[in-house]
Order: sequence, then structure tokens, then C-alpha cells
Amino acid sequence: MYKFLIISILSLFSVFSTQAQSKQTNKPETALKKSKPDSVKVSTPIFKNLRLDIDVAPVLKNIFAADDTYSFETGLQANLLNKYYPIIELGYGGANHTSSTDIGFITNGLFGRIGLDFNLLKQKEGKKLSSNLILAGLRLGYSKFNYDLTNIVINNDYWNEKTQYDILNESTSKLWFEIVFGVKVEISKNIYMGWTIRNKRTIKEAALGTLNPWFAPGYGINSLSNIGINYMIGYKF
Amino acid sequence: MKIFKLITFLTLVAFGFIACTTTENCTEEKSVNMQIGFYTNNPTSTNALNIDSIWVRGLGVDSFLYKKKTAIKSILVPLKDLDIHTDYIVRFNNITDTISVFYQSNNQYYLSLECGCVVSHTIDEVIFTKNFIKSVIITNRNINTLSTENVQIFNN
Repeated sequence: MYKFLIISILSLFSVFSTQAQSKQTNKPETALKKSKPDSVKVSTPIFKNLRLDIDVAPVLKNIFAADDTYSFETGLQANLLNKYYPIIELGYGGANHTSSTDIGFITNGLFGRIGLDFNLLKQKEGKKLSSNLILAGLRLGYSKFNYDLTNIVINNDYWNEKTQYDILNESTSKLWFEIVFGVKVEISKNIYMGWTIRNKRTIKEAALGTLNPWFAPGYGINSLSNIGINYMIGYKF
Repeated sequence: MKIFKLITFLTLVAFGFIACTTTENCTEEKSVNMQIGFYTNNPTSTNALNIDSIWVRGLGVDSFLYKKKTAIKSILVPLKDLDIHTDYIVRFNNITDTISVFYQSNNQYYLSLECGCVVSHTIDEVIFTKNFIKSVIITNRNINTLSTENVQIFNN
């Protein structure tokens, strides 16, 4: 699955670079046919702009549904040909959680994601280019972090045995991929608001019986799959 | 205009997800027991043995794991987590035997934050008195949350 994802992302990058090249080479020919002999050739630049997004979903989450996990992130997305949107996302997340069996879990750490979005909004010919975006894409996420498990109690009622121990500073990492869908609307000149919804999937599961963190920064609660939401405010440069 | 109606609808859906919370319950099996089956050997085959009545308790413990249980073909018994051997007193009808189980390790087996840990064991040896019991076979040395037969006891 991991190999497939990397190949997919690389293929997507190669597709837009090939298309960009073909546009650069083909466009002047068409322009030449239509234009007058002394007209200036116009080429479309591949790189259009950069947008910096900040996730405000944690603020909304704390207002509507406060819990014991947190995550802050930002993303830098490039616009290539108004179609392809490669992105880098960086963030910091953590949890301070006590289970119903009184086991404590504490973690925090940095995470990163790379990926590519496609703009699904079709631009009509002859009309002004819409600055709003409907994006769908993929991400590859990674986080390396430490965590503590405290107050692990093992009871053996029949033999009247009780064991209590802590596991501190356990180091681990997590690799996952995401299928992302989102909307970005230009609410004012160069200022964007929008959201993304993500289906996150673990690439490699922990072996049965081995320690497995309850929460992973950037991924959320550590199950086989997870849903993530970002509500972004962004500025286009 | 359609697109903005769609955006509004999807935004509401997104907020719905933000408000979602997860519920915590332990749904995994947590009991770790050694499973002992009773058998009788015929010249041609091995058959499960139905014990008319059985009493089982740990050595040094007053409470019974099984007390005059009737028509039973197998039993589940917990091992000590803080020791590497456990003794049981087993009364088959009117005949009493002692079974001692020796095991190599007490491994902490992590289930989840909701369920915590259990202790799994690996059987090394089973020693027994030969009153009702005639022989013992270890069929699966690993004792964990999976309910599989670990030991077979034969009475002939």
C-alpha cells in the first residue's frame, strides 16, 4: 500500500510536469497560427501562487467539543496551472487522556505531511477564472514521538494478585496516508477560508500484544482508520 | 449558485464531524486461563471424557474454581501472574489429584488503553499425582486470551 501511494504521488507529479511542458511547447504554435506575424508570444507560467493556511479547527473544537487531545497545523500549498496543488503540512499535536480503566496516556510531538490536490472546479472558457477551489487529493503523513502510559494495573482476582506499573518515554513512529477532500473560498482579496475532510489510513499496524499508542500526532486516535477535519484560513501570496 | 449551496451543506457536515466524540469500551477478551480437557484412550481412538462431578481449587486458596460441577469435559484455570508455577487440587468424583504447572515466563500482553494489559504464559512442564490421572499431554504451550486447549488429561 505504501509503495502504491508513493508511486501514485510521483506519477501525479510527473503528469503535471509533462502537461506543463507540453503546454509550454504547444501554446506558442497555436498562438502563432492565430496571431498576427508581429504579435508577442504569451506563455502560461506553471507556478501561479502560494497559499499559506492555518488550521483554526482546534479553536472551534475547544468551543464545541472540548476533549483531551489537541492539534495545531499549518500548510503551504502551491498552485500549478490552476489544476495541481502540491502541499506540505506541518503541525504539533498531543494528548493527555485517562481511559475508563484509569490508565493514563500522555504524548506530544511534531508531524508532517506531503501530498497533492487537484482542483475539481471546471473553469468555463471565456469566463473569468474562479478563485474558489474544490480540492481532492492524497497525503502521506509521518510522526515520530514519545509517549507515557501510567497506572497500568493487572488484577488476578482468584490468586489475589495485583501488579501496577508505568511505561515512560516509549518511542515510536507512525506512517499513514490520507484521502482528502476540501473546499477553499476566497472571501476577500487573497484571503481564503475553507475546510478539508480526511480519511486517514494506517500503513503498518502494530503487532498484536505489543504496545500501541492511543493517539498519534497528526493522525488522531490510533485506530486502523480515522477521520480528520481542518478548518483553514489562508493567505495567497 | 449551486456550488455555494453544496459548499454550505458540506461545511455543515464538516462541523458535524468536529462535534463527534469517540466512545470508550473494552470489547476484547481479557481472561487468560489454561484450558484442560479430559480424555480416555481406547485401543483404537481417543474420546472426550465426561467427568460426573469435579471440584477444582488452587493450592493455598479456599475458594473453588469448580465446585461439584457435573458432566464436564474441560476446565479453565487461571495461573499465578507473579510466580512461575501454580498448583491445583482436583477432585474427580471421589479421587483427588494434584496438578503442578511450571511455566517459563509471565509476559505482559498489551491489549489497548481501554482494556489495559493481561499476563500471558508459556507452559514448560506439567507434573501430577497418578490417582485418577494416568497421563498428561501439553497440546499448546501458549496461554493467552485465545480460548484453545492447552493440556489433555487421560485417565487410562
